[in-house]
Amino acid sequence: MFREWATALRLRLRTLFRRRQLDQDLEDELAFHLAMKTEKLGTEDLARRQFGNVTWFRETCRELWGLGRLEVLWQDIRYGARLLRRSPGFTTVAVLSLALGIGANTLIFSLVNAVLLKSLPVPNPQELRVVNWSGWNPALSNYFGSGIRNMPSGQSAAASFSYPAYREFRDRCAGFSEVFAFQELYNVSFIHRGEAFTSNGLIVSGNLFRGLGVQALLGRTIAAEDDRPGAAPVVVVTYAWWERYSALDPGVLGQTVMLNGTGYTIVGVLPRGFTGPQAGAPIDFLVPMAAQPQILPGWPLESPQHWWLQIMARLQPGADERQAQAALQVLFVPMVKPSNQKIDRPGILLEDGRSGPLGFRGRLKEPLLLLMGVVGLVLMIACANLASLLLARGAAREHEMALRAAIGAGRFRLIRQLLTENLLVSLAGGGLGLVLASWGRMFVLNFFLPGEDAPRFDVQTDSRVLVFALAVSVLTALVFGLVPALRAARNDPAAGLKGGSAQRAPRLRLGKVLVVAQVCLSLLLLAGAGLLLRTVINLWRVDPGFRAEGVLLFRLNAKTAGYKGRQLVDFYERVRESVAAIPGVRAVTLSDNALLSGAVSAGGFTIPGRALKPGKHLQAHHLRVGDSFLATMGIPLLLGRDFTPADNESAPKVVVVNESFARAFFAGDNPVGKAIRMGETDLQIVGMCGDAKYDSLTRAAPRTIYFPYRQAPDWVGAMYFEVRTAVPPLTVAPAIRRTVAALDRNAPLTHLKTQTAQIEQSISPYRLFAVLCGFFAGLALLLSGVGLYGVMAYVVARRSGEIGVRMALGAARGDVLWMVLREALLLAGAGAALGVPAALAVTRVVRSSLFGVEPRDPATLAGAVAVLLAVAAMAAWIPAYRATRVDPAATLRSE
Amino acid sequence: MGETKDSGGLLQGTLDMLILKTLTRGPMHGYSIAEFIQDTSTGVLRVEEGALYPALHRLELRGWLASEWGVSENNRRAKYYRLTAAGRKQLAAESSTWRRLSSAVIRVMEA
Repeated sequence: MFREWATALRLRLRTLFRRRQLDQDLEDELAFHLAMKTEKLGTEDLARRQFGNVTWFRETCRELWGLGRLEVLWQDIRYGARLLRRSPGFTTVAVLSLALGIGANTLIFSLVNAVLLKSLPVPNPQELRVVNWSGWNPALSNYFGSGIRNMPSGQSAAASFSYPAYREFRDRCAGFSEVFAFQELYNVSFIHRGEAFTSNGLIVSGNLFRGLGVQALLGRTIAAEDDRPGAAPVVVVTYAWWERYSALDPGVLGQTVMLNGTGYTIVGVLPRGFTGPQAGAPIDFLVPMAAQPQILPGWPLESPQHWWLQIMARLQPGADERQAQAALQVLFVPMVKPSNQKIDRPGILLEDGRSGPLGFRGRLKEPLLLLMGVVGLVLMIACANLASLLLARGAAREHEMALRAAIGAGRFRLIRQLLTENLLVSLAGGGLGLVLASWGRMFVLNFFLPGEDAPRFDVQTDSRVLVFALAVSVLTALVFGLVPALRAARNDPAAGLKGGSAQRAPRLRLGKVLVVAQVCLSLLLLAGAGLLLRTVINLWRVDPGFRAEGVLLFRLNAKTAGYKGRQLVDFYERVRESVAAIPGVRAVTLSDNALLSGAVSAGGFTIPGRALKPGKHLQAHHLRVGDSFLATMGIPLLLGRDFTPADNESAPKVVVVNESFARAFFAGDNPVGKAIRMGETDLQIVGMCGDAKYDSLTRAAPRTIYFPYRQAPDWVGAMYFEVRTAVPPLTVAPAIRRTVAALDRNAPLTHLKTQTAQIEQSISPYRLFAVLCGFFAGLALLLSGVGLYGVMAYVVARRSGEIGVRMALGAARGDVLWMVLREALLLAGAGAALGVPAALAVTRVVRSSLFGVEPRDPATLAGAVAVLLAVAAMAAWIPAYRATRVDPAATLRSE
Repeated sequence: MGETKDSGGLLQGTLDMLILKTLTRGPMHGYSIAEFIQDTSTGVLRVEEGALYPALHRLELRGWLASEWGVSENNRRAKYYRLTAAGRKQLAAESSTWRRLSSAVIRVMEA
């Protein structure tokens, strides 16, 4: 059956492009037959008579060979295109509205696709599984990496395992063709051709590439042989690194790079868009697990107590997933007890691994889906626009429709014709939308994902995005076009042919309903965007408790250049002195975390002489800082003193605490002179400072203890330097780079930026979200304005007779103007009246993205209504003005 | 699509079978197919030529016939049809159905 059908299609398609040939063949066949017959019967006349109806023969054969309905469709398309060309105004507005609506949807969808939907670029990704453990009430220690998720069932689940657990799974579990493991390595010092920087990589098991099925773009990948103790140290680099640092030079193969001080040979470059099992992760390089002793010195690889590795597996084709899961579980359960992790009823949970572990992509899920909803609303508004345009156009085309119905076009045929026209419009809109989306994408990506550590998603217009755009276009055509088409085709031909059109134009009730709906939806978007905008303003206004302006930050990791303990402190102090000597620099200090970078340290302590339950600790945030940190950062010192050069390793241990700390633990009494105990050491509080934000602008300043970093050299690793300048901070950046390089070329200097930029970066997700929502709300407003304008223009045209009569009877221009404006404002008011309760009900969904403003903030809502009414008045102004230009004399003549 | 208009007094569907059967003799053009059926049935089955060609084209579209242009015995350009493997199979199926049907009709008529 199918084969027959396929043959027919093939033959028909062939003739489709050889129409003329087919006609010629038919004629030839006929001519041959008639000639033969004429020979037999004597006269051609007789031959023809015996043959029968020649036209019927031609038509039947042509129909047999033709594509039937497709050809009618082609006629419809050509007719529709001609009509659309003839009314360029309508076509432009319609196509643009849809292009904006569909473009916005395609843009956001392409992000959703890249972040959430796309599979890893590997063969048979559907066989991949992420291995998680699950259980109730986990109490974990020495646990790193993937966070713990609460499952809907009430269980917890997480994805980090110990290395011995991985080995057990790999060697003893049936049902998988490969079980492989990996973990991110952050802030590795990476030296390539004498240039040092920090970089993120992955440490992977030797079978990872075989398990994923990924080939190198250049050279080779990491193989099992590279993952044996004593194997030559090798590294493969990602395309992103190759592009950025090596300018796509194929000569990188065989070059040596230094990773945390050890040399590795580059043996391969990975294909573009593949950054390991974690899509979009900012990964530069991958090294085998055998590199652990050098790259993660001191890391207890063999310890069953340290859970840190993520595991993925590839199911054997045809294997039973449940059996494989059970087999893993049998291996896993006995490992839990001997480790120090406490998990009730432990188990193994296999998750779909086609996109790799969810990881940080999970955090993008909610905002992306929210944006998807926002652009969905924009598209609905665009559809409403189109529908009301089509209704108005339908009224104008009544005559044409009546004529076509009168000469025999069926109702179905008319509806199909109209839908074809709509489809043309929406496909044109969709095509243009795709173009807009790819422009917008560049903008969003540059805005969304700047910086070294930004995710590197491979956002492409792939087939899925194209199908989405096409589906949205077609669906849109049906949504906005069906009602107007049904209505237009319902006309009674007799009535349609009788009168002219203007006087009898229908009242367009449906069009008004659509405008009200548009206004209502726009209000939702405006209110949401308003809340997000206020959030950003609030964030800008937050007082961080320190003076951020005029401070330059940079991060230095001298540990990877070989410095340890006291040497490290001495080196940092030398850097501090040299930088302080740069002209334009006022003061220099340093700290282990940069303020408002998101990084944070915290820990427990006790207070001597204060009883606590055994094993209980008080908790506070820690910041290890250099001398005069408070003064340099502009944190006010309230009591006592700042750190001085005298607070060195041999001096008594001291700390400074902030006001919140004093309030919480000393009931607001003067804490200076009191002591806190950490471990066995007592530290004396020598000062109290004002509260300053630490890790987050949106949270209250935490209870913070400041330590002089020099008093605990063993704790010192990478440090952030804070440079307060008398000149614009970035102008001293080159001098700083030169100074540091002169002290030691191998210490990677990174994250050079102003403190203000650091703060900007910490609020950039809010800002991005606000900008996008604001943009889409603006779009919605524009579309609604156009819709309202269209309807009012139509109303004025329809009522020009009445207006003329009114003016003839003495109505002033102002009265006429107001009459039209009032109608528009009534429509907008009705939309707003519906939109306000709707907004109150749904703005909740953005609650987690707000700061300093409630989802139901009345001022924001009132502002949104005011903007909406103003736009409505502007949109109605032109038709209203036109109404005042109606010439009463002309009207009276024509009536 | 008007596939089965009057087929010259032939039972519906039998024209297809007759065409397929005729072509077992080798490639032929439309004219000689019509002549052959008419002659072989001693003029009892008259093939209306206007209906023959649509039937030929339909069978071709189904893949039961293939066609190519050639030169006729009197040096004219003519379209030759020949049976395909699928056509042969179809003919076998149709003729067995036909045999059962016609013998049943005969049995009823002579009862």
